[in-house]
Amino acid sequence: MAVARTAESKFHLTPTERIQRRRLIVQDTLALLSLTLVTICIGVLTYFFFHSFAEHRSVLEKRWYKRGQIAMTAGHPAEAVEDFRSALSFSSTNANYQMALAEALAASGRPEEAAAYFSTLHDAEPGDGYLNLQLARLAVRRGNSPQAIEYYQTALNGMWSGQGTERRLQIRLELAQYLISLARPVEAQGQLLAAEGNSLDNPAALFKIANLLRQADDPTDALTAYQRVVHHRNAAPAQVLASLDAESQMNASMGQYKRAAQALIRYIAKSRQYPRAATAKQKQDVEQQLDIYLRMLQLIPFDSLPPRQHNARVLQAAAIAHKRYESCLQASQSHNDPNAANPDLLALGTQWTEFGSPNAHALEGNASLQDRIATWTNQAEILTAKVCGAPTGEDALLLQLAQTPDKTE
Amino acid sequence: MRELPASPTSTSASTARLPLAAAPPATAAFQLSDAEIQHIAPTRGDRLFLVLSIFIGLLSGLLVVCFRMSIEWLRVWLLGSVPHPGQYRLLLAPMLVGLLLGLMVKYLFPQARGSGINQTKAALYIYNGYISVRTMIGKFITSALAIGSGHSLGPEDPSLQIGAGIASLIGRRLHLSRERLRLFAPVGAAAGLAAAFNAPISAILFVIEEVIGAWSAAVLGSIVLAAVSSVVIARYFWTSQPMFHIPPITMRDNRELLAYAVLGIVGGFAAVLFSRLLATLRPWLRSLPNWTQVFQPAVAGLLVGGIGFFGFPQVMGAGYDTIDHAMHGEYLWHVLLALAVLKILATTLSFSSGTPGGMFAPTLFIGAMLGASVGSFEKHFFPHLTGSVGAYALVGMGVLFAGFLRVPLTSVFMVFELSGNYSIVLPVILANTLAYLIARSLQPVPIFETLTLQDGLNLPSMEEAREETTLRVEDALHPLDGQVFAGSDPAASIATKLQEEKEEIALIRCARNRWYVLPAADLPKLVQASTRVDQPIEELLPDDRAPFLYPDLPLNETLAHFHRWPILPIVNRAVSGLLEGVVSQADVLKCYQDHAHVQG
Repeated sequence: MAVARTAESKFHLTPTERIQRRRLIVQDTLALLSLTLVTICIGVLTYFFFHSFAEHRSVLEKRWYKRGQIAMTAGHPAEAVEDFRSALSFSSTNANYQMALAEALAASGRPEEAAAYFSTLHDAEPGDGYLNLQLARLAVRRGNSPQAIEYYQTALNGMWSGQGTERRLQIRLELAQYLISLARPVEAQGQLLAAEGNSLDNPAALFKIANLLRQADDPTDALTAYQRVVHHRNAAPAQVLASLDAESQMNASMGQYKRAAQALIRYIAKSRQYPRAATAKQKQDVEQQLDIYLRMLQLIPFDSLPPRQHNARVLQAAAIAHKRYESCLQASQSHNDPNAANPDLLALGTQWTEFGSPNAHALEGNASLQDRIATWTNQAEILTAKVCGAPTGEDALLLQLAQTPDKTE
Repeated sequence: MRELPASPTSTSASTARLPLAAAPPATAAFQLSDAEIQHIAPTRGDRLFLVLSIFIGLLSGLLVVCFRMSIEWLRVWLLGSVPHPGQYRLLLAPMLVGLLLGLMVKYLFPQARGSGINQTKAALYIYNGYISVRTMIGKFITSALAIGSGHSLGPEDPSLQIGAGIASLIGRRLHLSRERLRLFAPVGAAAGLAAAFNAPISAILFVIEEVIGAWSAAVLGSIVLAAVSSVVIARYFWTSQPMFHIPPITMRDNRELLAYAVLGIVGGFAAVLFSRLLATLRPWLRSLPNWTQVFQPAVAGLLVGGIGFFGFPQVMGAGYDTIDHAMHGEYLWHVLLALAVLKILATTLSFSSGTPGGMFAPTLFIGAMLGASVGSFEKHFFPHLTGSVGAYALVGMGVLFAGFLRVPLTSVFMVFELSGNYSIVLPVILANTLAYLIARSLQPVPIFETLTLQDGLNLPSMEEAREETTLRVEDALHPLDGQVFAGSDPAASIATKLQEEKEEIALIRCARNRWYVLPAADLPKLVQASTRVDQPIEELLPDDRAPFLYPDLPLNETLAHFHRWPILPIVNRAVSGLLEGVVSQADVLKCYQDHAHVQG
């Protein structure tokens, strides 16, 4: 329509009007060209103006950021918050500054504000491992365990710029520790076993995993992890010694005193090989513990022993326990009415009389009697400890053995 | 706007500065009149208008970037990189700059006073789109100085006026017609505001809602082009990041809407308080002796600086950083409330003293603080029902925008655009509507209108225009008091019937459901002209027919037809040609008079 109108008006234009029309077109073209030039000139000026200020802002923001970092290093997070905030006022989109501010807020005991900042960053990069880890830690502080675990899991699966494997391992350990603190050992064990599988070349991590497995009520896997540390060629001597010590304790707790003693023997040997790896006190404690284990091994009537030796150990333990029983009964009666002695003690005495005078001959080939006497010995040590207090000497060793139900060689 | 603009340089501009009624009918290019240009180049105006809109957008964007940079530079120079309470420069800078501004506004740039929105409206409605270069430069310098030195004002409204000034300058230089020159002011205003806000939709809506007052197809395309061009420039420098860094926004529970309703109510009352303070203090300060006008910005600067010096430097300047911090829940609710109250006080002082600068940023600031305050309060007492504080701050900004500036549509879209998040739609609409209704019922005259009335101008009220009842054809419609004839009826029989019934008008139903209104006086000629007795009257009638008019059309659409038709048949939209009734000129006039009487 417009084209038609233009064509029509062109058709009706007089020569003067045509000239005027051409002049008008030239004038408009020149005007637009000059407008373009003006726009370019103002654009160039704006560009330089903007960049000069941008540089100045950059100097200022870096200065404030540095001040904040120094304050954080010096342990003044509250000051750092102000500094980082100032840095952010010059570069509000800088994720590093936001991160630093959020960390400072978290460190200065303001988890809600920190969480708000981290959430903003998280919104922009939901898959960022570090952000999710920070949010998980803040959720831990705020006691929001479902959210914390979710963030930990996202951090594990998230993206990490460099050292991803190492960082994921650390997060898994942190998550396991958190699960242990929440009394959720089974989930913690799962995380730790997964971590162990990824850190077979890392004795330091293995040692941590073993410690956490121990806390997560998984002694068997903890023991395996300790043994891996001990046999790892790159393990630090101190870690080897600590692992041997822990291995010894774990074995003892499972009634494997021989292995416990063997671990301590290896400890002593290693400590001689690396004298700086353990203190004199540690070495002395280990030697004392080894002595205890060896004495316990002398008392235990292992099934693998020859019958005579086995029966002799049963009788030896029973004699020690009976002596302790007698003195406890006497003490119990002297303090109270003689007729009002502990009924359990009296019942135990009745059981003893049923054995008559047990001797090696009577025990020979009589497995039932052997078991009954061994059971009586355990019950006597436990009961006397309860009635008359903690025993000393060999009675203490027998009590420890009585409390360890499955003793193996 | 007490004085007329300074003398313009070009011939066309000198006509443009006069009120519309007094202006000569044409502007000149090569001494050609508008009519001559229209004759030799009929499409020139439309094409040039669109091309120039792009240039207006680009130039406005560049100038707004420079303007914002100037404010930032001045802020660093005058207040230091990060102002802290107890710094004496917080007292000195706004006071000394205030003194300088008082002198500049009094003697150099008298038109630079105020926010810039009313001045732009005045340019559109009174001065034919004329904004002088001097006003534009003055606005740039004085507003940058005021905001940079810590006066509690914002850069958006001045940016709007700078954009309108650029548009006016370009229009004058290219000898555009007066009509186009007038339309350029809102185009430039939209470009300036869009660049300042980095939000084109809000800028376009604001200009339509507050400056033009109606959706006009003639100008909408240019406004959009200019706004988009300016935002492209702004985003080249500032990137496309939203103005604020909004934390993740969630609505935990639908019951949380109650909390947002509370925010809407609080925001509505705060908007009324803010408006009343401004409406009271500004005329009082203006009524003081003339020599005090020079010192008023300095006193206001000292008082605002005092607020900063004694503990709240956040209220100084535009305060975008503080809005950002509030959104991230960095302040306790009572601190936020204090900041909102102090900002109302500081902005009232700064603006009423005649210091140049805008109201947008302070409005956003107060709204954000109130919102975050309500959000923090509710989070403290009802932690399970409340989402992030940032969401409340964001909604709070929209609430005050709706309540104080009285632009409900812009306020909703502004929140969406600033946040880039549409998940908050329900709270925004609810809270904004409540705030708008409360503010409207307690303060019937919007603040911009109050300010123009204080300045002695009477600009059209956009809010009134929005609320105006449109009279429709059905309001004046009545049944036909006469007879309807078919087009096949002979003229003689119609004449006989009319004579018998003593009627003066016959309504003839013609072919294709068209109608013809035939005065009885015309019938004798038709009867004479008929060649046979039974000749249908339709064959004798002139070619034209009554227009198709429907009951729902605006009543004013009938007015153009009464010079031809004594009455107008009104037909049904669904059943073509079905007669609903008729209207006469007298009916229309009576309808308007009755309506005016009812309106009082």
